[in-house]
Amino acid sequence: MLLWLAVLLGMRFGAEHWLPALAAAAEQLDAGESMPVPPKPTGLASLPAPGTPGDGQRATLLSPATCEAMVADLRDVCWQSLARQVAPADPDEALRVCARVAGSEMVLECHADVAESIAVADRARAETICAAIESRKWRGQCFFGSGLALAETDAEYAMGRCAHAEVYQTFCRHDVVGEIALVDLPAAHAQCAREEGDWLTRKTCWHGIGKYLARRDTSEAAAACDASTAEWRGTCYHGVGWGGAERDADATLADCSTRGPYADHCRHGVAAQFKRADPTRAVALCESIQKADTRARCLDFVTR
Amino acid sequence: MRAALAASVLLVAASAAGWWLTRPPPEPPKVAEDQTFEDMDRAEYEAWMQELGYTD
Repeated sequence: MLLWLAVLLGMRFGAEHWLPALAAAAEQLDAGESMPVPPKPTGLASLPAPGTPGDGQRATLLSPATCEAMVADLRDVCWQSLARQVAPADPDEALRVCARVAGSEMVLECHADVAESIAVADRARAETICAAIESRKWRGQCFFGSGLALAETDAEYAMGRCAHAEVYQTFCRHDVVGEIALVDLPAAHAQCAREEGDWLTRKTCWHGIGKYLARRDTSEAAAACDASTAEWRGTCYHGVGWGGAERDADATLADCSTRGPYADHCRHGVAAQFKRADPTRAVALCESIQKADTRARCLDFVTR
Repeated sequence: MRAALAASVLLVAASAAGWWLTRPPPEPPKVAEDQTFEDMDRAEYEAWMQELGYTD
């Protein structure tokens, strides 16, 4: 009982100590200085394609009147959603809707969203919209989104968008190749097997394959990793651990145990995935890793 | 005496654990508006990707 009280007391003082840092982080979010998060890891794959069941529902979701009636804090989000809704049928109107967004950063994001929405139907127009964004950061996000949108349609072209993704180019390659792997594993393998770019670009390509396939099936993902470049196979299995843990951590850990020399890399991925949600479990998972160097890297990551 | 000392150590450890549990996530990298992939420090970029689950 006394121990629990001590923990709670520690949390109370901890919260008091860390609150200024959290407040500062919140201010950074408001100022648009937050950690840039690559857009939409699943791309548009989860949205109903135009002309398929469920797609028609989008047309009745929002209207200008809906957005005008919203409180100020939500109005920009509404305009942005409306722009995405309108874009497939009328990109010019969608851009006019974007112009109604008050926030300067959200206007740019809105343009990027419009480009992503139309990329499959009109890649040339999407490119024009992206190229016209003066902000380097948002121009990069725009091309990243376009790459994601086209991953299942044209693997080569989609990966090519990542070269224009500015600071997000390696995130882009990771996610686009992951999306490609879901529908055409040989094509994804071929992209990563080119071993293009520096060491970080090369290894994260394979990580994308492992992570995306593991979200669906860890055995399938492991088989894909077994066909990867030997140098980056461990990284690929880290992706398997992370992606599988998003879905079912216990089942993924059980699967990791069957992966021979890559079991620890797989467990490392699971542990890394738990870092924010359950740091205690993350540490325990790292400590279960047999290989000393992998265990050390795991613990270094989850405790920093 | 020993029991009291052991209990004190445990209490301090428990408080420290509670304090640690409330810590915020690590500081994100400050990506400048005109930042390019080429001029970003690789170690920092890798750390950024690690935090978001993009690499080991």
